[in-house]
Amino acid sequence: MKNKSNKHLVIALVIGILFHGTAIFFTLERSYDALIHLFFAEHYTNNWFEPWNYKWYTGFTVMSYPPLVHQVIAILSSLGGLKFGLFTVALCAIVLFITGVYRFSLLITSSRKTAGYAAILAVFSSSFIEALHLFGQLPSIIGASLLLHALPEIYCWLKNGTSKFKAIALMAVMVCSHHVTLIFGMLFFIFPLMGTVILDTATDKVKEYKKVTIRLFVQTFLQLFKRFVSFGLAALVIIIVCILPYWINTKNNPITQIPIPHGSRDNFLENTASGFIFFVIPWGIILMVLPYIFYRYFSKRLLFFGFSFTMLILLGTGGTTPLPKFILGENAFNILTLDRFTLWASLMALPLFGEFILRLVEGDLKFLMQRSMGRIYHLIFGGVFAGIFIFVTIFTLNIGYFRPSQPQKIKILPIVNFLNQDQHYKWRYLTLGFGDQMAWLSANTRALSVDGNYHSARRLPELTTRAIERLENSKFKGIEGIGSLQQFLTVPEKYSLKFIFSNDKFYDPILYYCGWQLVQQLENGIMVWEKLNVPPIATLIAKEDVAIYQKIMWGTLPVLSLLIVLLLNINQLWIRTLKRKEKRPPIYLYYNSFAKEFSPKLLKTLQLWMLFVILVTASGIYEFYIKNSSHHSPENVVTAYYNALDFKNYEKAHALINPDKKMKIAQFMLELSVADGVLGSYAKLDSIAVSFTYKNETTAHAWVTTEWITPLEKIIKKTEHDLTAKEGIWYINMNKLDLDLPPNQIFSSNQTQYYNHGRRRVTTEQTYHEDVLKPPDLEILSARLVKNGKQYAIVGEIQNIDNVPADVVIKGTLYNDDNLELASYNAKHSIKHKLMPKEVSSFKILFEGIAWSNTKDSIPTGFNPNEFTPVEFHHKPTKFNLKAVGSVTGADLYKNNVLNEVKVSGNTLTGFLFNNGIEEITVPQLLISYYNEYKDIIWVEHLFMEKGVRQERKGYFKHDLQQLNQWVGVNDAMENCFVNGLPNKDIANDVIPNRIVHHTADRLQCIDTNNFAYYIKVELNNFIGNPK
Amino acid sequence: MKKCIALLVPCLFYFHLTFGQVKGNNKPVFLLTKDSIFTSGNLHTLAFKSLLKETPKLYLTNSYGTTICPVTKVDKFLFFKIPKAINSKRGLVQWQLILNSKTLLQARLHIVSDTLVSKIETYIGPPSIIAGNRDFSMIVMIPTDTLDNPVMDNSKVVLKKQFLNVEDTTHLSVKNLISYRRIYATKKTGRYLISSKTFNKSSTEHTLHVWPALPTDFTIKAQRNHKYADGNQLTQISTSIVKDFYGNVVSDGTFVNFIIEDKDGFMLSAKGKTINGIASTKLVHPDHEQVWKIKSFIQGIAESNEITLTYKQVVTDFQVVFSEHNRQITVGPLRSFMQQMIPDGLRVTLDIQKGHKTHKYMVETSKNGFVSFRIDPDNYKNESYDFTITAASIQKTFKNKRVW
Repeated sequence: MKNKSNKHLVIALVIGILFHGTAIFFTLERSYDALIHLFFAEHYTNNWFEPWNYKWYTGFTVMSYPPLVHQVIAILSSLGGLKFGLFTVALCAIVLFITGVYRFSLLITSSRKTAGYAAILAVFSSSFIEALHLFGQLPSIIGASLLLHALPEIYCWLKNGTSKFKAIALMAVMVCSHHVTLIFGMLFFIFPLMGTVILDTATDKVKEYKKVTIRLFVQTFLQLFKRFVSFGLAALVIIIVCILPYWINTKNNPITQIPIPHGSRDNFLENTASGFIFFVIPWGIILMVLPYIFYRYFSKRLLFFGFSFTMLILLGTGGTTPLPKFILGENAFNILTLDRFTLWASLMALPLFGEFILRLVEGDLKFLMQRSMGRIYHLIFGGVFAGIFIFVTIFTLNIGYFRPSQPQKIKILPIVNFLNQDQHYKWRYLTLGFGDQMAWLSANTRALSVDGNYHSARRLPELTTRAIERLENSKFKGIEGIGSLQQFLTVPEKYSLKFIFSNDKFYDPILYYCGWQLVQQLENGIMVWEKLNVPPIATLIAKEDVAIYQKIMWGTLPVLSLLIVLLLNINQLWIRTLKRKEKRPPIYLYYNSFAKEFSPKLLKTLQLWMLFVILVTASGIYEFYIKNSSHHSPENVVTAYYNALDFKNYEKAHALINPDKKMKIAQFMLELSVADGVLGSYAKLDSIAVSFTYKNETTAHAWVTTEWITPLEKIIKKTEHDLTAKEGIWYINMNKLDLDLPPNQIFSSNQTQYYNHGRRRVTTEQTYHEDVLKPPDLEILSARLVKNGKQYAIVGEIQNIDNVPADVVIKGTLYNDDNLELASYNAKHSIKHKLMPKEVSSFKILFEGIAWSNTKDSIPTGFNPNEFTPVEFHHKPTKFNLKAVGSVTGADLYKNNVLNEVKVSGNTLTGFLFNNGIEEITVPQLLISYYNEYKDIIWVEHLFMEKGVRQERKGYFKHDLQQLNQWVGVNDAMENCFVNGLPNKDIANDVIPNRIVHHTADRLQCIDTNNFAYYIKVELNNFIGNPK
Repeated sequence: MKKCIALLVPCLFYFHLTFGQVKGNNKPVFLLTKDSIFTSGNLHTLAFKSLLKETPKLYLTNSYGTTICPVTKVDKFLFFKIPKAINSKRGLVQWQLILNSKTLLQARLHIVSDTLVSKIETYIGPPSIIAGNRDFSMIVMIPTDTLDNPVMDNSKVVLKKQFLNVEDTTHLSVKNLISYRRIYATKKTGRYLISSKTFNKSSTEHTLHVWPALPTDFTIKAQRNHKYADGNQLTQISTSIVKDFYGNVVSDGTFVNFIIEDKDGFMLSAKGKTINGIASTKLVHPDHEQVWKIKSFIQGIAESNEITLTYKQVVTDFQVVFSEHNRQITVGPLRSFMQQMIPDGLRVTLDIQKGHKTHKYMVETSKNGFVSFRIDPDNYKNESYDFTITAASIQKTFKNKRVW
């Protein structure tokens, strides 16, 4: 064999670098993981030897992820910044991958030409494109590429004991880049490789694969056994030693969190989107030639690869069949992302795919086809095949364009500046709606966040007990996500969380109702929300320290292993490039199993299979079309209408309206814009079900049940629609509007407005004495510990008795008879957080536990709208204390809402709100306090109205009152109530010595039921989404 | 015996410290610096004469900390440079001359503040108080020298206040490092401007707000265009100027809760925030005959009189027309008090019953005085139903109407 450059490999490298090198600048930053790796790299630039990172999850250790790739980016970043490091490493990964595939193919097929073909195909392999450009899994790609590079060396070692050092060094680098690859690589690549080595060695004795018997196989195995064992031990030592700190950390902090759902574990037939992303795309064109690959891998030499390949395919199918779960076991199944198996399987398929293409283009398959079906057929076949291949490649590369996985790119500089300003970095922050760009923000600021983007390292039980990867995108996790977010928003002082950067209007209502206020809009459009009364982060924060030897190992071994590999290979590279020396071809090139002619039977099978794949795809596309063709059926038109409304695609929604009604788009928009509110502006359509009371060829009457996730709660709505078909095209008839006419065209309103300078002087002094305002005096008018079964709550009333508006934070703590503290929580939605001077608000504190922390098995599969986990009390709460703190505020003080036309019949409360001010109330809230027959407060509940109330308009409500008898008062002693750190009683006596007590009990709404009478009071709270 | 020694040693040590002046020039080391009281910043060096071969160390302690001083040796003289951290702080300084862990000499020095005042630190809190004769704030003034030491006791401080037309001056003196004064609330609201002065140094201007005291009872009045229950016009309710016990207008933003009890005993409510003492709110007229008893509260503190408003029924009757096989029901004309069509938005409900059970409940709002309901053929077969139409609390029932 002549030793010359393989032109196919050179072409593959040139095209690969050009193609991917150009594309990464448009894709990599928008991929899921790239910015996370960048964040880790940033950690190493500043703290090479210190594994503790304070920035995420109130602190976590970077020893939870193999460090090499991050460290290399960190080293490169000193030349041209973090992103330079990232892109350079990505380019290296591309080169490593292409050459890796080449070497692996050489090992499998023993043909330089085939390997060259495989290398070219690898450039456009959809699984590689997806992993790099869509997922941004750099360490995983580098790990897999190194595995491919290591396999020939391992082969040589196992076969005749050469290349030991190279194999060891490569495995060390691999394990430092991505340990999972080596561990599973042992199983799925190296074990079958051992089989091949045995077969090859056995063949040496009998000259032909056919003649290898089981007996001979076993004999050869025993002969090679010693070498296998020494290899196995070496690998084991490398896996353990190279990233020893990682294993120690894993042992000390085992992953005990609730598994996070991942699309790769779905049933791909049920969840076709997951099937598409995690099965169809990574397989791509290879899917069409699967029978060939099976056929070849189940030939004798590669038999063990055949088994492993089958297993990888099977595992890659996720939850489609119960088999992967059965094979991996419940635990591993829930921790691993199964798409990596598909990635490895597709890598394993590449050499033989290259072989197939080679045979199709210039080999025996070409002649067979031309002979049996004619030249034209071959040309058309090749053309169609290439067309599909190109289409899949382009589609995969640009999938982020069709289905954006990230929000628009956010300029982070204004946020970084804001955090540096006025010492804002002394508090933790949280981002909402940033996607993976939050990692880039974290990398660029010294401020700390409670959230993070590497969910395996989560430490707070509030996070680990819920299946949400980030708080940041909690809206996509339904009520469970919102529930987790609420815990942080309600008790932010626990985490020193003061600032929230919101890139998504969706979260506004929940922020408001948890007592947060909008500070400003940054120049990049990000909204900054803050919570008053949160103490800054302590100067010293606890961390989990590790032994110095671990830190040194972590900081030196990975880079050292990389250096060794470079040194070992540089010599060979030199020889290869300059061809200074005739080099003996590697041993595996002597074993060629590619001898058989392409049989017509195989071709037939292959063609049938291709036809099958094409038919399945076509039927899938047709199904997709039928489902999405809006006018095709009454179901479609309703679904399309609601989807269009959900995505605010009003033009499309308008096109679905019955044209006979002759409604112009302007009128349609006008009528829709009337319906602002939590449902109109802040809801995400979760599910839609359509049922028909009547349906014939031309008309239908539909009941549409829609479930909406809103930031506050889940809303289930039932709406009626009349549908009409005109010439087979279905339309929806618009429902009638509320035609209420406000009395005034223009009107005026005088308001008292406030502005708090915060800091009048330009100074960095933390508390400039003269600018410190007195905290507003509050008075807790009543408070009572009540219980319902196992659930406890503190209800009561609080008044701002000062002369300035107050932001109220009220915290309740429960104790048992022995004064043992049992639980502590803040008032969440059931309070008016902002009180005018002398205004009263009822409040309720529910004691929310960390969800599902005890019973791992009882995680509900569906999300309950009012998902609430009461604290489990081991002792009986009998006492409570309350700590109320007021801060001067000037925000969110809109009170122009009138409760009107109240009626109670049975236990149904009806009426309407009338907005007499100049702001539109986006989300009105009713706070309903219940009093017992002695007019003592016993319960408080809230009701969010679905629709907003516009200026001088009415908003109707209907609410079923609670059955009161379940709530029992436990304790109403108020000795332990404190306001601004002082006893409530003292402040009350001081400020209002002669309180008119009967005012509270006066004018409550009496509810006379058959059994007994009780009383209610309705207070109103208003969220203004778009202040004028 | 051991106990005695244990007691004796500290006592001796104490006496030695207190009375043990550096005596005699025949000792191997003695202090040359004569003074023991220095003005802050003036103690630069301590000089010793030493006959010893080795150089001892000077160990200095004041209430802020302890240090060893750098030494310059010239012939037999030792000059220890006193660090700024020690010589600039007012108070007691204790020194020891130590050689090989043995104290050769020790004594105390006093550093007093400069008589020259460089600035006057002033603190006032709380920054706001409530009018009347109970609440007060306190001002604390600390004149300090150039090195930030509080000046000596009995230094004079002049406190000046201005409130409305009154300006006054109070003379105070420093005691235990500070001078202070309580400032009691006045009966009028306003702002105190306060300054202080000592020698020739003045403080900056400080502000103390006097907020109004608790609101007292007030009156309310209603203003409306007409007395008809048209469900459209607004009635404005306003309070009189709400004042506190001393006649001050209450602070802007004071929350007033208007509670309305209707003729059926249901409680409605509206809110107002005062501006210049007046809180007002607007209520939309009911759409049927109604009597409202309105009273307002500043909860627990003050209340108003109760006023009664009566609204007259405007829609006295309306027609209901069934057409298109009784599937189209038109209600109207709905006329207001001058026989004009009622403003758009009057709610008309249709309750369709079948065998005393509500089959469907529909709500529509009027447009140009009419409301129409459509009974769709898909849901209502050829059968008889009872129809009840309600508008402005007037109910009309049509029994056993057949639709086809």
